[in-house]
Amino acid sequence: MKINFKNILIALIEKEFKSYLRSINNFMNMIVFMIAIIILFPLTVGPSEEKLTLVSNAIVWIALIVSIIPTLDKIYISDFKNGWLEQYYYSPLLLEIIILIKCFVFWFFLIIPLTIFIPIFSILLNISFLIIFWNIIIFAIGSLGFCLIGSICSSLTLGTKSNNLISPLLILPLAIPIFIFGNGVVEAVKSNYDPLPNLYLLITVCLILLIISPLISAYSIKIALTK
Amino acid sequence: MINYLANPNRFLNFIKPIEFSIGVFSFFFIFIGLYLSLFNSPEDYQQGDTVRIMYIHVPFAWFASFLYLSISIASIFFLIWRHPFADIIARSVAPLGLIFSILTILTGSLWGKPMWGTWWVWDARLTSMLILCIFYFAYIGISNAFPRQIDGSKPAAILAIVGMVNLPIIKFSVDWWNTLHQPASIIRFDGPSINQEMLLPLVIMLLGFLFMSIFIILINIKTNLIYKKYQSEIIKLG
Repeated sequence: MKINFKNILIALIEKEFKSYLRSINNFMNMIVFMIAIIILFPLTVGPSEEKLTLVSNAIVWIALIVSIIPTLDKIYISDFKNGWLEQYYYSPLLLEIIILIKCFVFWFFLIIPLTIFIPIFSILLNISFLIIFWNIIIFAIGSLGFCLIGSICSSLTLGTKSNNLISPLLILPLAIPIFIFGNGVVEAVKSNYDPLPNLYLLITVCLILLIISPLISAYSIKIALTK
Repeated sequence: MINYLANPNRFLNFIKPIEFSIGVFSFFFIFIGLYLSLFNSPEDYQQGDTVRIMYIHVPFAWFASFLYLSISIASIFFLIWRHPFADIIARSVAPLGLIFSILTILTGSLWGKPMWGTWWVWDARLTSMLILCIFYFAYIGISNAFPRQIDGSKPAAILAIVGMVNLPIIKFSVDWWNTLHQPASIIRFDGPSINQEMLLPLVIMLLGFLFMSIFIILINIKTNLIYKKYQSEIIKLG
């Protein structure tokens, strides 16, 4: 096999896909966690419909975000332990590009499948179809930004004693713009305004992260490898 | 000057004679400032005596964000010139900044209860201050999360620089969004809009807080230097 950019890309995606396929348990855990949250909310808030319609959209979002966060900080940890990251570091491809590919693969194979569950949960909580449609769009875009933030945080915490407490602290403040603009879109749809300005801002945040995140992650991975 | 002071021993020799006087200055200014603000400043025509919380709330808030800025600048120095002393300064500033940001939120909510009727609202200024507090927590957490303390310096420095995004948001949140928190009244293009008699105690309090934070940071730097020497002695002994 010739060594060129295309072949390396295909091999990388194949390797990532296989590793996600083998750790399918993580994915199942996320789904079980989401279902648990969706069931717990109506039980704790109370089954009355007026109360639930106020918070139903937030419940879906909280279920998605809380179930994603534990996997977000483990993007690099297994590669770091196996020594794959060193191989990436010495490979002819730039580390930044490899990180970008890894984030895209993580997003595409682990996060995008979760969009299937948005309509199911939304119907359970009586959310209208228009908002379900926008929710799926926002989640697809916003989760890419979320993955890129997760890439920064998981590369910063490589080699820590226990990285379970710090990562949510790192992820949440950085992810606030995504929540604000995503919520802005839904609020605009609910009150019949134009949702596009907020959507454009959300896309802007994700594009900025797309530029910054690989640079920061590559720098902190280099630091982690030279320890 | 910076090059000269970047050596720990020279720095310790430099601060030895002035350290005590800085402490005295801070005590003096805070004492006078507290006296002026509690007994010798006018009541607000709307808020009455509650306005006196402002004289500690504003210095806490300013120094919480200034100290974060100084951490970020020290982190930039550390990442570019790799001088370990910049890292020690950043580490020494962080706990003080965390305490200041927590006290900002506490005094603010004590002030907010009688004035706004709630302890807390999710408006832009308050939320961004809370995020600053979380960034301090994350900075301290990540700088101590590694088995060897020195390994945590660079990730923490990167985090400090990333968190700088929050500082302009805190400053301009009252202008960009329609908030319950009042807009800026001291640093404005058209000069301070605050009453002169209220400005004087506030400025004295700010000076007192400046000296106090320098004094505490110097103590922290000395402690961290001693700890570092102790660790290197342990490594030498094996």
